[in-house]
Amino acid sequence: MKHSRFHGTGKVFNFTFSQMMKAKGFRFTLILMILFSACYYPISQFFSRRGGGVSEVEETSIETLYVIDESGLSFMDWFAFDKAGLDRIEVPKIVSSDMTYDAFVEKLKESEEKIALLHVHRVADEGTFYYTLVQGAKTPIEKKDLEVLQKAIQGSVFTQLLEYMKVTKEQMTLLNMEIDTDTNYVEVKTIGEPADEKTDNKGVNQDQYTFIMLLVVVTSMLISMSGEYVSSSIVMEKSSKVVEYLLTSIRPIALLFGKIAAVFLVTLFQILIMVFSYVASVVIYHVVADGFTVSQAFEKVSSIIPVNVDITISPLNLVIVICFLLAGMLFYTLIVGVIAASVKNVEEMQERMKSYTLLLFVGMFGSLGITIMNITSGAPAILEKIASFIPVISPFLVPGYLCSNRISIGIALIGLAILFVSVYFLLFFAARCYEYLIYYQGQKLKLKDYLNIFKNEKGGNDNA
Amino acid sequence: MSLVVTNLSKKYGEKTVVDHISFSLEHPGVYAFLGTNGAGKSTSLRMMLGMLAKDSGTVTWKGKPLDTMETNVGYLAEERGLYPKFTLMDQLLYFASLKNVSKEDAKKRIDYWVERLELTEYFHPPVVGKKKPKPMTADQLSKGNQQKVQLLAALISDPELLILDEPLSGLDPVNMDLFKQVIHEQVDAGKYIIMSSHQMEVVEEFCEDITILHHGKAVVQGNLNEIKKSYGRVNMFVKTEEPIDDLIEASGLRVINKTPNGIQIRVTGQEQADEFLDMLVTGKGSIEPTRKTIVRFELREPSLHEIFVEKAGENVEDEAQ
Repeated sequence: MKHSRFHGTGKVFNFTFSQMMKAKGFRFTLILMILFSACYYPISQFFSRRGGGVSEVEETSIETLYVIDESGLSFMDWFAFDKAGLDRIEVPKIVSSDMTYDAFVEKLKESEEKIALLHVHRVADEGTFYYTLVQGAKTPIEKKDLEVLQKAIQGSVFTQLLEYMKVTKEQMTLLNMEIDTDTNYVEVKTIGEPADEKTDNKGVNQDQYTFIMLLVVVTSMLISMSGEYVSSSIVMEKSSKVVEYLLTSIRPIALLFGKIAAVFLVTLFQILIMVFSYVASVVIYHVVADGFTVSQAFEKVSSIIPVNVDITISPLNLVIVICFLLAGMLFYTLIVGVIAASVKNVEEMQERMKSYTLLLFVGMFGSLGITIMNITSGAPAILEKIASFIPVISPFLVPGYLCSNRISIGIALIGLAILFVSVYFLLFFAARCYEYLIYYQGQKLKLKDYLNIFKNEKGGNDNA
Repeated sequence: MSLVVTNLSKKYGEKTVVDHISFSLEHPGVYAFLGTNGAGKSTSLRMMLGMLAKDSGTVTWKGKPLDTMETNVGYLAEERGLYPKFTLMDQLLYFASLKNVSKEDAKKRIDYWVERLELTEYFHPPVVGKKKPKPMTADQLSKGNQQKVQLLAALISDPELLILDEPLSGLDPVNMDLFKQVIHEQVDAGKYIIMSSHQMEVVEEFCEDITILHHGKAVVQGNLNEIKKSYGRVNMFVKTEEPIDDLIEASGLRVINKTPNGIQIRVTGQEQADEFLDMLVTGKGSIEPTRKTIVRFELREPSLHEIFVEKAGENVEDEAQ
């Protein structure tokens, strides 16, 4: 029975996968990744809370807060700070005072206790309620303690006001929705001729920015890690001369494909392990540190990736994203495979890999550049579309932009088709060049040399 | 005929590295592929194995184009190669799987060859104390032992056709004998073997048919005994107790080599050798016309080494001119 060119790919896959998983370096890196992913959230939370940054559990050194309410707001319950809108706050003891404002201020002047006064009053002419916090000159209370309390008061008043007015959270979201206007300029065309549409492009919001950056980082990791594994594996086989033995049993292209498949799975495994460690650390942290239930802790996890009106993770989007990741990885690893095949030994690898690194940077920073333009002034929509069609950039850009509703499914599918076609041609190019270069021991090759190899279709080694 | 190579050629740019080589293996045994460094031996072998594209020529095995994916071929490369950091057992099982040998069979064969090639201590390191020893990796082995593991890899599929590129280079005398025994066993088992080597005495021990390559061309080709016969008995070795330089000069003979064990002289054939022997016995033509005491007198065909040096030398001289 005649074997196909890909015969033996599975065996190469099994061997490469098992050896990668067994390698000490891999296990060490994996442990480091797990530790980093698992420790990042708890440590960042620890420092954030300790340094007085934005956090859910905030503390104040104020022991007693006296309230003089001259506002006449009947719905306000000053003892209900747990309704402050913040998840948790260390609430001082709250005492309603019968003293006048001036008399209490006199008392504060001399007091060295950790007390403060909240004076609520209304200026009818201005239509404003004032919530004034007052502290004495001799009290050890710091300014940040009052700021924490100020936030709690604002939240509490707002929440209680909503309850009093019987406004639900959903209604409040609607009330708070930003109303914006776009202007579309449509040129009049004759029937049957499509009209060009010029649309003003809004920049990305914070949620979209975070999400896009997250996907760019994940894609970059996936592609650069797999490229690194594939290139070092090829160079190692070539420099140790083991490739010559292997090629009596397997075609070069099957060898390359087996490696790429194994490397992809290992990289995916690493990323999943990192994601799992991160999620587990968030859940465990909130359960242990904040006394959350497991389901509450998982809600916390889901809030990290905001899925809302700006971000859509539909099944179709997910399929397209996965296709882009796979095709993007294949695109880059085929390039790195061909370049690595022209390298004699490990020492030469870094020098020869410059062009690949440059290409990777163009892809990565191209998509990052467009995203940064969007967060500042808004990149032209045409730029996003063009970038979606460039195979070097699209694997980094399209997943995030599609889910953030920045580009349409149609554009994403065209981009994907172009990427697939590029991978298809690259496959033939890589197969031919790889088979030629696997014995190559000569000088650094230029692009035209690769094209000549592709054209001539002759295997060989200049130094044989 | 089992293996037929016809008009095999390869060019790199303007340089021809293999120039229309043809030969065949008609029956089991060892076929020698000889040549100086850079003569095109490894390139020819790689083309036969289909690793390198050929510019022209065909290679057939049992009447069909040779395809190493379809034919059970064992190969020991000139540039040895093993994965330095993977365990020996893991990589041999991998090599076996690529040759479509089942895991069970592979393990049995590995066990057999490990014992035969005296590699047991590296595949099954002895237990020291309570700690189970770690499996050894290739970079922990000496060069000679790595070569043994590679021979094992070449034999793991029990190949019909075995291609050995410089199998004995770099081996110590003990391991060289071991390799020779294994090659003899393979010949006895009816295997077809192509072997390239620089060690002429080894080739003479194994091979009936040879090709000598020089700058990609086959300069000598055919059955070794017939090649030698075609040269005739032209090598005369003489050792006497008295000096005989004046006799050699008087008879117009050419000295090839002079060692404490005697003088190697080139003669045209039996007749010239008999005349010289007569001069030694009678002392005719000598300054002191006395009978010489002969310690050794031998007339024989040229060795393969001599043929090789002569042929390669001739070409070098031709090029110099």
